[in-house]
Amino acid sequence: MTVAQRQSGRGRPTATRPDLPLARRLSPSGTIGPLVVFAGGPLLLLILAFIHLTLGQADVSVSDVVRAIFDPQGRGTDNIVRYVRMPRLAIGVVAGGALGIAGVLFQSITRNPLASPSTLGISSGAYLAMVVSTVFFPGLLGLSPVAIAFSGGTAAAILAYAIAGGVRTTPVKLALAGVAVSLVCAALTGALQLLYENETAGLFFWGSGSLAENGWGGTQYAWPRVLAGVVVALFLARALDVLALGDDVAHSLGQRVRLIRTVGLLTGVFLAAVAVSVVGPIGFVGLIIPHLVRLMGLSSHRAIMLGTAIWAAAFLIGADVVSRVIAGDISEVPAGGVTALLGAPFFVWLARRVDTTRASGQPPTRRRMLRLTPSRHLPFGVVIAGAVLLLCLTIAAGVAIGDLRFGPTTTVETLTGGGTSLSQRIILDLRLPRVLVAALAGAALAVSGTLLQGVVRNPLAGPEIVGVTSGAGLFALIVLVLFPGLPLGIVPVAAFVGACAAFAIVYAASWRGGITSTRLALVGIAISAFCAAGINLLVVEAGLRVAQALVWISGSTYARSWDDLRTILPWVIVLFPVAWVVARYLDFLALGDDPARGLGLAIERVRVISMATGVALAAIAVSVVGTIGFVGLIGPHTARLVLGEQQRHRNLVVGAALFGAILLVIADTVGRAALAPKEIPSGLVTAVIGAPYFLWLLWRNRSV
Amino acid sequence: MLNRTMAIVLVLLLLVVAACGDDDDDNGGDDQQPTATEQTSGSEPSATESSDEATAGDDASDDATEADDGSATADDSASTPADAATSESTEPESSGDSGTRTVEHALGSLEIEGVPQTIVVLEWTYAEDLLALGVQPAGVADVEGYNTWVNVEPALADDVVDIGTRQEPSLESIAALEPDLIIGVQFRHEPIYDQLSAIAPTLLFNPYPEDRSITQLDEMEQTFMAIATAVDREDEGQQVLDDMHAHFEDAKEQIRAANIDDDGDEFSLAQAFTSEDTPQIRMFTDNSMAVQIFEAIGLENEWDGEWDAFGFNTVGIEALTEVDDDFFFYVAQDDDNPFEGAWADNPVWLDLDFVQDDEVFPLGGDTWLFGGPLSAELIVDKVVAALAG
Repeated sequence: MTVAQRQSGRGRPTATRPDLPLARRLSPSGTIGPLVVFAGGPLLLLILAFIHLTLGQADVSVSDVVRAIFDPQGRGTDNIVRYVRMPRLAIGVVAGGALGIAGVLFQSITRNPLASPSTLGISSGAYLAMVVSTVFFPGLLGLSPVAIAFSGGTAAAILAYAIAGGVRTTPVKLALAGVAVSLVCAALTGALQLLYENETAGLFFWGSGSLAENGWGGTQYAWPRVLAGVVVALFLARALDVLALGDDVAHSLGQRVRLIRTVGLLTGVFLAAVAVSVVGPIGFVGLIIPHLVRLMGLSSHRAIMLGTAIWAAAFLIGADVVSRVIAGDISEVPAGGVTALLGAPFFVWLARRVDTTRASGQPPTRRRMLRLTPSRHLPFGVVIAGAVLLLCLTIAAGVAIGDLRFGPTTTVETLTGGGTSLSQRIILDLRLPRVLVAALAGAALAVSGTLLQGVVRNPLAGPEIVGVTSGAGLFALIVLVLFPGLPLGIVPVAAFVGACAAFAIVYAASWRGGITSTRLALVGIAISAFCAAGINLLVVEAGLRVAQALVWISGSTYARSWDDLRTILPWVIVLFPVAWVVARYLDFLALGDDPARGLGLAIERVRVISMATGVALAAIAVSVVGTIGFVGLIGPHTARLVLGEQQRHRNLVVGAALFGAILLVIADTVGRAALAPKEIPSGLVTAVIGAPYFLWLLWRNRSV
Repeated sequence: MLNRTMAIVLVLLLLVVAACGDDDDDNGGDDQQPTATEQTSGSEPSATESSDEATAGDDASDDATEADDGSATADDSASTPADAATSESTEPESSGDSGTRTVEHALGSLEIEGVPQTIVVLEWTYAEDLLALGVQPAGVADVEGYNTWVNVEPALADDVVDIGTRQEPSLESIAALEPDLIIGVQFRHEPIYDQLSAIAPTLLFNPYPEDRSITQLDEMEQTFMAIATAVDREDEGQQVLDDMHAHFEDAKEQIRAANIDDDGDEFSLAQAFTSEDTPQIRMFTDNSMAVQIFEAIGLENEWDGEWDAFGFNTVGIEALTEVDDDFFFYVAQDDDNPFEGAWADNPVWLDLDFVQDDEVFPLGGDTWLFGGPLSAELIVDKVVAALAG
């Protein structure tokens, strides 16, 4: 505890801030830190900026760059440097600074070290608003992109807070809620982009921000707005210093706490919105840079903000330098992907720190996962009977409905061995297998979600959040893109391996003499973000297989055959009973670690078995149908909603399996029939149905 | 208690599912043979018609001279389907005696018996190939897209069935047409090859060979002839290719005659569009079909990019400075043309030599750079119109 001793010896008021234990514990004493921040930062930024200017597709030598900067004569190289490269540099500096200061504001005001534009869902909310506006109200976007991005970002932030249980929530809860909101926004954005895809723009950056610029327009638009935001932020800096002493102290010192908070948050959202409106959603800049600057020992907010602005700009420019080097002479790699690749490991590290300093923040003493208004629930048997009936009905509908319609008689005749050769071919060879694959994959995902939620003791856990889904996606794309020579049959295998590997990494990185569920969730978020960034980068390089890759990522039950059913069926037959058996012990785990131990439960063994089962189920489902989202989140929640909060896990597993199956079968049928003969990938349908439903569930279950 | 019963029910359900799986697979096996060709309607062989079309293509080139944006060709295709070989040639000549032919494709070789009457095409290029051979397909993926992007004659007949997107065509719609041949493209349809083959014999081609010794133009000709073999029209196919080469020679002569040659005969070719607010340029590389066609009419590609299977590098505006002392041809949609929009006032663009010398030639948004022989002739016509018109 030498660090703690050191910081307690410093005796400055800021050292006792309750909100930033991480920085407090780690900051080196003395003046080296500030020197590094304020002398090293600008120097680093200058060097990176110069390197940045020398990189590009045209042949411009270093001396050309120097001449273009200091002695422009209208030469060709001068124009390139001044009208192509400098705008790109400038937008990077402006956006980086804006994101960094937004991060400082969020972290200080919410007293949450995990807060940032990306973790609160603000960036993806702002981006969604812009995409919605592009598609439906193009005129509005021309009027004021920032206003649209701002309203989207604000809505996302409010939503994240509401879901997490208000301003006083714990960091981890807020981070999970923010990720959930991001997930929903990203799913809707992806759906819109796929459905309204401009034929020519087949290859888009899938929502990672990029610094590519057409000229000075973006910078001219952004800098006065960012400057205004920064001025307000600096104006608030003093007040934030006082606020850091605690609300009561701040009150007694005459601060108008509520006003400062509101203005600060709005400024943060505004800055993030400006950045998103010019460069798209670039993640992690606003999360990690404020921490790094605080680690250097800065304590006054004015210094932290200025330092963060410089370093965030340097970080973003550095990321763009890396992306240009990766891209080589041709093509464009989004800088947002690089920031996520660099930032995600830092987030893992942060998650480990946060957990130790604030682990006590979330004692899971009650077995309640969600707080539902107590209402009368139907008996388990009735619900299950109803769900089985509903599943049979949806399967029957899925078999009967499609491009061609068959009447009930033909359908029944075909299923019982009669029918025409056409109806046999379509119903038996095409529809039945894919509907059944959808049912099994949906059930597998939902059971996986139930187990993971039970282990992590958080209703937001699911295969999407603990890294399983994106790990599978990353490995599938690695095979598709980097090893095009391999047969396509390898892709599902790679997906399976990727899912397991991602989760193994999450588990290992969360291990510090044991696993806590919160740490697991946070590390899962980071690894998911890392894999998602990798997927983005690979999509850009996908070449011939890009169309296939995009469809695979969005998840699809298209053309699934009896072979696919044969792949998934044995796993389901083996793992469902395991899940059912192990679910019993999750009831004890839900009491909390200590009570469960007290009851003689081998906690670690239960955890490992449940998670391995859950991961294997999700992995097999994803390997067969691609990264279909939301089923693993919604299945268990629907089961709880219908069966009641206090339901045993065993019953939840059964209910979730049925509801997950129903959901994916409906998604498959809608995807086939809605725009026939055009197919809508079922992953998009689950996103469009699932995202709002998921939000509604979260809203309903929000903590007080 | 309840739990236990539920578990039993669940296991039973799974067993039922498993049982279904096996049963129906047997059914699938029985069904695999395509129905024998019954139609033997006598329509005349269309060798003469296709050469007529080639001439019609020549005529169109005159129109294209006046057209800056390709609208003339669009009009043509709208007005001519009546006189071009369309509905007449929907059913190729009677098969009876043509025996078995072997067609090589990307996934192996396929024995085709008789003359396929009902053909489903999953990629536009091959629909164009069939039309050039005087055969109307029964179903085509994304008919609307075809009509927007590929403007050659003869056009698709009105009764061609749309069978969904090119990436995920509706297997049900295909099966409902009861085709006897399906033609697709490897990079999209390889994962569903088994399902397609269960419906009808399926040919998948790869227009973007990874073998660097084969150019896309060679591949296009090979595939065109493979399709001609598949529909038993090899003579007509050879005629179309001969016409195409003759067309190239003509164009070469016209360009030489026009004596444009102060700047040499070097060019670069781009496709431009906007993605995520950022203009993107695809510069075509030597192995691309479009560049091969340009070179066949005596021009020389100046873009020296990394080899790419698709045949283009995606770049930003900076890259244009590498090729700016040559002719610059590009394809962009009228409503998304970065060279007249986002970049129009950028000093880098304005300073490029080909902009200053007025050597920038838009080919129009409906010039399909990835098509078959007819699209190739259209490209040539547009280039001739630009340089020698």
